[in-house]
Amino acid sequence: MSRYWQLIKIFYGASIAVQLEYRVNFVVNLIGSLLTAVGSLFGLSILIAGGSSLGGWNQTEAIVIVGVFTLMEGFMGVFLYPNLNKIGEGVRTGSMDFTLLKPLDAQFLISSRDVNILRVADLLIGVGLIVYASLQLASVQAPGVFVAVLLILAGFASIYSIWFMLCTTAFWWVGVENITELFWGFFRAGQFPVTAFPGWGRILFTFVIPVAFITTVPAEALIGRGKLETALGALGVAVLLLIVSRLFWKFALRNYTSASS
Amino acid sequence: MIEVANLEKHYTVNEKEPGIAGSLRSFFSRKTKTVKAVDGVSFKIEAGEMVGFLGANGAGKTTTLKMLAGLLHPTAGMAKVAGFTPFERRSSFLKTITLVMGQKQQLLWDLPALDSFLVNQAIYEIPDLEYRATMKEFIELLDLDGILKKQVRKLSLGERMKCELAAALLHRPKVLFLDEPTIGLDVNMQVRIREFVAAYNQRFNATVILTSHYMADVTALCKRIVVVDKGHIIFDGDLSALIERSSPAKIVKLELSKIVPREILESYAPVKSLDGLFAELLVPRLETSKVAGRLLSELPVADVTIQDPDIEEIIGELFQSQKVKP
Amino acid sequence: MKLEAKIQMGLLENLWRKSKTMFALWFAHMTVYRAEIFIWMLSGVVPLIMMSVWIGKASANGGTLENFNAASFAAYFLAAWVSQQLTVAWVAWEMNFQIRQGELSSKLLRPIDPLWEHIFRHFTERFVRGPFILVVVIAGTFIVPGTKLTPDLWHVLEFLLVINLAFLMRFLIQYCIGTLCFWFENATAFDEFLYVLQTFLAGGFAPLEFYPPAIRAVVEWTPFPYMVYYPAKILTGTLSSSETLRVMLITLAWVLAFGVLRSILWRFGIKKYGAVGA
Repeated sequence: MSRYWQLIKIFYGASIAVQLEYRVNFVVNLIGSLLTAVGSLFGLSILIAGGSSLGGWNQTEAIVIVGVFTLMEGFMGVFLYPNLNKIGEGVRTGSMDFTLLKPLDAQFLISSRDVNILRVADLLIGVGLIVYASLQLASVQAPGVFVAVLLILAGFASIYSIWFMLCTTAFWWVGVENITELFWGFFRAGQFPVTAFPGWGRILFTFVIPVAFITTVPAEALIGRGKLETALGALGVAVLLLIVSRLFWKFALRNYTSASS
Repeated sequence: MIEVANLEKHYTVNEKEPGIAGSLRSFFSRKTKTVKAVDGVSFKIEAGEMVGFLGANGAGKTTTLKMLAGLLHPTAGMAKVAGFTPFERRSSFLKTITLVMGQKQQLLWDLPALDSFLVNQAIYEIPDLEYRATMKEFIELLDLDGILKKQVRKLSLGERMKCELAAALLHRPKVLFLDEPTIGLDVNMQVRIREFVAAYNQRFNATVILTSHYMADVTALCKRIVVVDKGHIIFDGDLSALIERSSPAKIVKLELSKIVPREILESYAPVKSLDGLFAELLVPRLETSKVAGRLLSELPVADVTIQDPDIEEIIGELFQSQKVKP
Repeated sequence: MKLEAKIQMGLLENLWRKSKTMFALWFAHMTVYRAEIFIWMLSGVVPLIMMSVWIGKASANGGTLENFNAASFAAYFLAAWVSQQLTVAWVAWEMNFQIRQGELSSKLLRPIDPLWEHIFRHFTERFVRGPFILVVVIAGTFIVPGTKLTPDLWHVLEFLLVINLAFLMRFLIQYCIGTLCFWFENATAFDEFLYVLQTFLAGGFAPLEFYPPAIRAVVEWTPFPYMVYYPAKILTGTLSSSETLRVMLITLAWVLAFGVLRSILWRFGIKKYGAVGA
């Protein structure tokens, strides 16, 4: 266990040290995160103009979802994007060989190699929005909060697994990393409660691209509207995705043909 | 230490002609071809041996090495390294071996080399005491002072290769797979690297398989060589025997200052090629200096180079002549 | 019977293999145009997502919302999506790359302004994307019954004119941002800021009818609505001819304004580039 921790310290420490050298970048990204958050809230206000609800969620409740969404975007930008999209490059250049030769789980090495500290504001803003809205809602209770945290972690796991599977296809196809941009694009539907979508939209965003399980369900749990079935469903989906992505990864390794010299 | 029997690796490749016509044709009937990168290879290597793998590009050397390192799943046959089955990629197996590939590196690009060492120390679970001892030896043997704290991307190719080797051997592996480790390096660096590998082999009784395009690498380090061609082994035995047997000649390259007719050149030695002012003569090894001296004093020579024939040529000769010993 | 079944199975298998191959071919072809697809996908999805959300709102409100029903929302957002696709520009990113990598030097040696090469490349990309756009639009009209873009050919022609002006405008704005790379390392950050502003103000998020009047008044003074909102209105046939003329003139004015700005920035930028050394 301590090996893993030590490696994370070295990897993350180095990344952060390099990134902190460029303070302007930091400020610029901070502004970007703030602007995006403001934009999302502005957009929300347009949707909820005149006191109408969004799929049965009032403004304060909808802010919780925007918060969870921003938190997830932060997770993707900080932890996933800098690492997983390099899988294709590793296969192409042959550096994947070296990763596979190490006596340590390759999936861990790949996933922990880098961290993009510049987008950390997204994580903070997300949490900030969630806390701000929760404080104003009487329906937020301790057990709900506890379940919500669990479901948010499950959401992280689900996103990680989906993204990881998409990037694993780089073992066979070139340039597939851009598919993750498509996923990221569709994920924007997650800033709205899934009930805001008409029937076919709800199906799409629950079963095809499980955005609903990732943003709406944790938010529901938080504001006290959670249902046991959906919460268990979200946890189940997360576990299933983790298992499937791991199996797919093993399959890819077995069929690895390694760039020739 | 290393045992290989009838090892094979096949790839299926889609054959497609270029262009739109080709695309359309392959749309209607797809042709696949099986490429036999390694087609039945067998050998045994004892602990502490240093063996050179020679062969043209695409002969199957690197593929064999990668199968022995556990990166590739053999299509058929058996391979055992240090008692392990490589493809199972057990942790204890991976700690016993190392693979170094020239032109490719495992060092983390944007960090100082030292950080890569620390990463390896953590991954291979090297105790602090051993790590420090190994580092001390390597710093001295490879002259790493002053370059460890620089970012890897700011190092020259030679410095990078030295750090690469150090990082690869940090965990004191018993089996070394070196795939063209000196490619692209200048002569001094090549010598340095060779000396290091020899020292490591002595010190730790490590088993080494080395592939290279440079005869010098192989002659300096390996007593035994294995020649691979088109996925087969066509020679496995003593190096000196092979050299004398199949390349009794050195190539003397002449740049003449005046055109010299072929017949005159041929009176000195067989002419390999003659192109205007540039000539290549095949001179028997033992007579090289004598003949070269005569050429320089008797012919209008602007420049002369003497070199060993290319490994590819030696191997080429291996086929054409019957000098191969099974 | 057995033989027929066998033949049928063989044919099915064949068909399956061909479909797989076709998909692989299409996919391989697409991956050649990686950068374009990248941008296509990035800028693509928001109007389509918003379409569903606004349709959802309309049905929750009894079917209509401010003169929009499900079908008119679908029409608007499909048109907005098409407008977005046809006006997207990435020249700021290209210029940043060229300036950082020093490729700009060789371009400057040529007797033509590098601007033309960028424009040409952008133009040809739009043709590549054409079939995809058509497919999505046709598919989109089936999702919500009654959706249709304008049947009037005249409107389509007006749309084509306006959308190309809008593209030029967006291209020039991006070009100006690109020139900032001569002075700033992080000029592409401005591009990202612009992207956020575009997402929420250009009409891809919601038709401007839904914006509070005060905010809408301010937005109308920016070039954003002319990128998506107004072209979309023209394509859905919901803009009067006098309004359409006004939109054309204003867009043209923006094009000229940014054209002048870019010339000024370019001249100063090149001087700086030359002074520092390529």
